[in-house]
Amino acid sequence: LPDRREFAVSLSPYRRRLRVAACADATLLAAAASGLVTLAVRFAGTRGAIVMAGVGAFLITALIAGYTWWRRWTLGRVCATIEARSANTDNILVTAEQVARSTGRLPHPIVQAELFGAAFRRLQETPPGIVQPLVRPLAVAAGAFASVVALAIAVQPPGRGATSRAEVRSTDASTLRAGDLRVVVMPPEYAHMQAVEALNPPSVSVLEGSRIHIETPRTSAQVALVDTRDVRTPFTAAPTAMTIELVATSSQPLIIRFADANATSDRFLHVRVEADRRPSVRIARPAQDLAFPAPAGHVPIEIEAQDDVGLVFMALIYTVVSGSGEALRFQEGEWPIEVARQGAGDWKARARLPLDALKLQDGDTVVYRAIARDAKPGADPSASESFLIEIGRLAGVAATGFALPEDRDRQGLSQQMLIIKTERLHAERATLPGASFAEQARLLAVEQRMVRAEFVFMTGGEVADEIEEAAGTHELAEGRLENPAQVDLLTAIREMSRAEARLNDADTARALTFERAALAALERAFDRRRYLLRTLPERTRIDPTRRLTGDLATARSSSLSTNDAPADPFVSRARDLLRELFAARSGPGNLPLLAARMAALDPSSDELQSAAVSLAAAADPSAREAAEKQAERAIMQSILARLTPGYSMRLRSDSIAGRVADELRRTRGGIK
Amino acid sequence: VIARAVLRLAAIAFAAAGMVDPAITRDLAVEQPLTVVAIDEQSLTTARNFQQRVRGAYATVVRRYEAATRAAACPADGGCVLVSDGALPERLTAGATVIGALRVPVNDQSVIAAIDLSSRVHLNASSILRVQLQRDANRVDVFDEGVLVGSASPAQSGSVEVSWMPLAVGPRKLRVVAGEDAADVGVRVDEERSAVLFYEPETSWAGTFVRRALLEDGRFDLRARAELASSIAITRGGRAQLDGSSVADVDVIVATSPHLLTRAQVDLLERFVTRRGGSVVLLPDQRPDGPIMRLWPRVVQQYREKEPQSIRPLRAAALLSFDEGPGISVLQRSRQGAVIVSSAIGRGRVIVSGALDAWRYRDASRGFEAYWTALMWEAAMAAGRPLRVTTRALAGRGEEVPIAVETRAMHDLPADISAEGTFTCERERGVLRLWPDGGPGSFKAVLRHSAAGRCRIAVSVAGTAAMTELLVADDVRSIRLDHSRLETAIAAHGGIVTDVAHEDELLSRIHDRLPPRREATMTWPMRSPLWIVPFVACLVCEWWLRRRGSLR
Repeated sequence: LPDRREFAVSLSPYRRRLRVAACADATLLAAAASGLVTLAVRFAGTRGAIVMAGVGAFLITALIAGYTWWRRWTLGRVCATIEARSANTDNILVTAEQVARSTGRLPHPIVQAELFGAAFRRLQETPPGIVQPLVRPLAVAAGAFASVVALAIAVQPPGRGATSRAEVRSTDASTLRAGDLRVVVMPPEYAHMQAVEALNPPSVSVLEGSRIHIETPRTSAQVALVDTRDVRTPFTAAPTAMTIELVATSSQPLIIRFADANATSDRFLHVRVEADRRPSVRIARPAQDLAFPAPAGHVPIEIEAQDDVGLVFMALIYTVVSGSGEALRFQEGEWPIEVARQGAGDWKARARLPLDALKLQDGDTVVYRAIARDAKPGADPSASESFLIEIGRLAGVAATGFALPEDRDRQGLSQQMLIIKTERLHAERATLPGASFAEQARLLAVEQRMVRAEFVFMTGGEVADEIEEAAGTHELAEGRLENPAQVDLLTAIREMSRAEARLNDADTARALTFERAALAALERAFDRRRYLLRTLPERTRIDPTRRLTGDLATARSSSLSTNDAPADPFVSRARDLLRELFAARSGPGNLPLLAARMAALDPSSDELQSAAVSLAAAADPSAREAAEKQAERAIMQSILARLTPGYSMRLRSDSIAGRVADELRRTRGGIK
Repeated sequence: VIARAVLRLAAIAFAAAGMVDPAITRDLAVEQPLTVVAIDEQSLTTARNFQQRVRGAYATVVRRYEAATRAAACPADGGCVLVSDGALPERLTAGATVIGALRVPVNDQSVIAAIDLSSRVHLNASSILRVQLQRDANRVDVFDEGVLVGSASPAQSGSVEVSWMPLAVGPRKLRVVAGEDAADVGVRVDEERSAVLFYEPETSWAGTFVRRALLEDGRFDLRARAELASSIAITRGGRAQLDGSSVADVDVIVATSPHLLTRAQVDLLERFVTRRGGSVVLLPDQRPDGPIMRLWPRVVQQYREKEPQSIRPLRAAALLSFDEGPGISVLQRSRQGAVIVSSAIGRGRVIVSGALDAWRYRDASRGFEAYWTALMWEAAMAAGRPLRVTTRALAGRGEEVPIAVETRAMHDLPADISAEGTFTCERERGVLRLWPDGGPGSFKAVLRHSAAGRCRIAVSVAGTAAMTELLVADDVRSIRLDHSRLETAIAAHGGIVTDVAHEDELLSRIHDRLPPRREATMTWPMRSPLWIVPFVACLVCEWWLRRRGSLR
């Protein structure tokens, strides 16, 4: 029979499992603590500090909890737990453990043998896996640990502020070394962002309107800020540092020049300003025009708006248009919406527009759109696309500009009527004498010309002939005439010209094709859901009274000047910079100055800006060499993009070829 | 007695024949002389092996090319085979028929096989430099004075086109670097505008869009005239008439609607092309007829496609295709044939576009504008100025640089026209000795300068002056093994270039070019000294017989 030593050994697997489970619990607790700490310090530090705090909290909590809970699993507690988690509750294990642990008077050996034997049988009946399953605690612990790792990777300080490719560390003026630059970016107040600081950054990315505070230790005698126009602004002397403050309005490279040092100690700072973009707002539902037979029911509307900084206002605006012609009436209003803020810059809203509450009548139209505004002072709100709700019969009304409902009907009808007449004539072609058929076709051509003339003058002029119109087709296709209604009108006119020509030739079948194409274009041009602006600006309006009134005798030749466009100054500046960059390779070179000039070449070029920052940030010789090569290539590519492109082509310049060819042609009997 | 008589007669016969000295004509096989020239010491073994293969059929000689003597590689007579690793002698032959070249394998680690670029480029335009590679290279860079001016990655092995930008005006040394290999080429960068006369007998879309492209390009000094009616025209720039005084100082004449050109205008264009050596660009919008047909290449086909056809970078639906006859260089080709061609006539060229409606399909990438401006620039470069001084842009120190001077005028030049020339180099200046070369107004000279730096060469012919510059540099790295140059030079002599493994082709070519031939050869048999032996024998025997018969 087992003795008490063997009994203690047999409890070891149970204790090991319970301790492992305790460690898993400690991991879970540590993960929770780490998450809380990370969230707590997220608003008060840089990313590195946040990660350090989170990891530290995790490790400390895990060590403390794990050690405590590890020690807590004594054999007595293990036995009690086994008893508690097994089916039998006779405390045989607890008793055996107490006897085994006792140092005083022990029971009779026979009793001990019976006791430990019973305890062994109990242990055999209750294997360690039943007392403490490990799969679940370990899985939970692994998940908790993964959460901590994910949090450490994903955590970012809130808001958008300065970014730096150099080492960023929190500091104050007293900790700065000679030549150090501390840059503090203070975003505009309306953005509600934290100020961010960086030490010796080659570039900072800031929101438009941010204030940039730059300071350097007072050990330097004179420090000045030099911009791209070579304007020097000296730093102001404060008790412990030299400082300067500027407001970021546009991206620009800056040089911080230390007057008492050589040129190589210049510091480059590229300020990249990100504009506060206007909010984007759209109507997500129904996102189409609607027509209702009667002013009853509701129209559910969903609106979405986004902004890069934050939204402050959103509304649904509607305009009820009633009446027609000169008696149009407009009634504007705002309908309440239910806003759901999913973030400072991401709002969604719902509304139900009740048609009966708007007191609409048959023929009325409701034009509605959403507007949204961000917090930028003085910024205009952004508006979504407008949609229509038409009530009752066809409403030929548009909200802005002008509309021509009667004319539209008349002209559409005229063209439609012309098609019907042509179809009838075409059907009678077999029965009519040829001369009579041709005569009637020519009459229809006259009608087609009259209809066409209406639209020609509406577009502001005369179309000379079909060939010239065809020559202009590519301009239409290229979108040079951006007004799509005007494009459709011109298309209709062109099709009418072709139809007229076929009718004059008594070719009614082909004339019908063009007439229908003209009608389709007219319907597109006068689509009632299209907002028609004025098709002809005042300054280009044709005065028909002056037609054919000129005097040919006054026609004169004219002489135009040649277009002597000056050479692109960018190219010459970039060429100079390339040479200086090459010269800087062989000597110390003022890389910050070159970087600043490079960044100033073209502030809109990402390649140049990126290469300039790399050039300024290059610390060791290998990085410097790589940055110089990158800069060279960026400048070269930007010059090539601006020069007249080359084309691989060679023409022979020797005169022998021509003479030999002449002789060969002569012997073969001439050129042709 | 009889024997003595016979011997005596024989001796007399020998003596008489010797005095008569008869000649005999025979048809004999003649060995053709063949010289095998080894370009260097390494090629000598291959040359000797090749000599063994042709020995017997030809009078073969192996010799080694000596560059220092400046003598031609091949002699004056017979046939000649060059054995080379790719290098080309300065002078190939002094008169011998160049049958071919045998290329020996070399352990050549060079990457760059050839470089092709325009000899003159404009400062305000990028240019294309084409590099032939014989090994793979990740990147090809172009440097000007150490400054990176162009770079490209080969899309496919074999060749790469590098777009590069001129850095400064004057003769420039461009260093092309591919992998571990580098080679230098010279180029002349100019900022002068080329004079272009743009004449439109009537307004046309093709002319309008090409004219606009030229107007926006700073490389051209454009003078344009568009006839609107019989007495109404719109002109731009200086003298823009299509007459003798206006075209005297232009490099390129562009004419639209060529079917409307008069006979006198076509005569003027012809003189401009054939005598002045200018470039004429014709932009028709229909198949022409009339006087212009004198300068017009033969049209093979006129057709219209339903969809515009790509003749990159242009597109067109209405097309003319031309016959690729003598003097025709095809610039752009469609599926059906040559669409844009340059026809060499006299000293100049006429460039004709058969892409009649390419103006309709201009795209946003500005390929239409880039193509026509590049073509006009090349046409202007090919035409050159009326007094053209041609020389290399780059030379090594001490290298001989040939200079060609050519005067091209619309009128005939006097035969005794003279020229003066000077050169101004870094540490030396002097008179350039100009020798007449060919016709009136053509001269040649040679300049050799030993100091690195720029040399300015000024030439004046009959009151017209011209100037060019040459860069003499220390470390000019040239492409030694330019296989394309070797093949071109050998092909120009009607020869072929083969590898050692395919030398049977060369042997076959030798048999074709130098067939074994028989010659009628005169021989004088009595002139042989051996006849003295029978003559003396006859006399001795006759004497011995007489002594035996106790006769005196």
